Amino acid sequence: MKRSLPPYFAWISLLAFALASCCSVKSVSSGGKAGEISDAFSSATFEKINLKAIADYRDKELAGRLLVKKTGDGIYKIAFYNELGMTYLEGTFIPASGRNYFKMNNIIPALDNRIFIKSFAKCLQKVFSFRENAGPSPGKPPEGGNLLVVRLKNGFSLGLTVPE
Amino acid sequence: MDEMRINILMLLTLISLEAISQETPVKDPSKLVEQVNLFSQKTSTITADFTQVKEMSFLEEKVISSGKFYFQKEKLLRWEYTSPFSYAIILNGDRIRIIDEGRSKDFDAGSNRMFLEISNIMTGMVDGTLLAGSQFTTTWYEAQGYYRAVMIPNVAAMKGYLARIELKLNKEDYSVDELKMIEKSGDYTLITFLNKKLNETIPAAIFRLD
Repeated sequence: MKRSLPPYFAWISLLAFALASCCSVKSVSSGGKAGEISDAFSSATFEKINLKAIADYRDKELAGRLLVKKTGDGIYKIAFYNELGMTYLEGTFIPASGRNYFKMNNIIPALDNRIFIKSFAKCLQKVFSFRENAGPSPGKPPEGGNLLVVRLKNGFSLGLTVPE
Repeated sequence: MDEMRINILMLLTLISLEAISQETPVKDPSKLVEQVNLFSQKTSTITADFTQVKEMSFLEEKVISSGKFYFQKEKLLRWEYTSPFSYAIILNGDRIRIIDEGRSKDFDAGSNRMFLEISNIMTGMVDGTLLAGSQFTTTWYEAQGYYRAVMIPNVAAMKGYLARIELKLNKEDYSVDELKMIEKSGDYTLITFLNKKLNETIPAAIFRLD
């Protein structure tokens, strides 16, 4: 039986859309001082920023600090580490680039999987592009007074807050 | 002639400085380990201030923090950061509490192998008992005032992340002066213990979880 082209392409498009939406953003919620975080990232006015960060995936929580340092030409070096000094991951983030916007430099073996890396990068991308005035996407209301949370459809979330 | 004397003096000073800072392998590590074990047996509590420097080579950054440390036999430990953030880990037997800027979270090390390993390593690093275990292969060096243990992990999970741990022990009483954790990436965390007090009474409230 000869396949007709238009339905075939429709199938391909549907499949591509479904795959993309696995990692697409479900919601971004914020409140209070979180506006400072989003403003800082979207306007890229900081040289260095150190935030409390919580990555949450399938009921597993990874808490620590996110250090973001501007190195020049729109490039940011990022380290996610815990208070005891253990580095979870380090990488380079280029907000203006195309597909390869986050390049991992090193990551602990326990986190070295495609889903985590891709989800983390997607959340970072959203944080860098978040506009406070655009308002949060439909989703849960802001959780904490100072928390900026990006939630993905696959259940991964990254919460950032200004340390007290 | 005067210039020659100055040059000889400088040369002698450099040679003596080099001799002071140079580390040499410990000839009989087993005797040293005995001394460390003796220290561990004689010590029931340790209280100290600490400073922590985390070196991140990729970011070319140093993150400095400080706090207070309490240890009591057998398995009571409180590792508390006071600057620049408020964060504490309290080990009380098989129970662990993390207090992060006032918010507490409890874990049961007894039913969680990873937490059990962490609590054993933390207490072992402090009281020196880690040196006697099989989790690490240890090489010993000495210099004026201290011994240095270079510990390379044998456990696969730890090997994937940690290149080595270095402990600097005070030659006077064999207590830990410095702890350095070197990650495979090259980053390291250096913890220096200051104002150490041994065998002083620590209030029970420091370790209480209830």
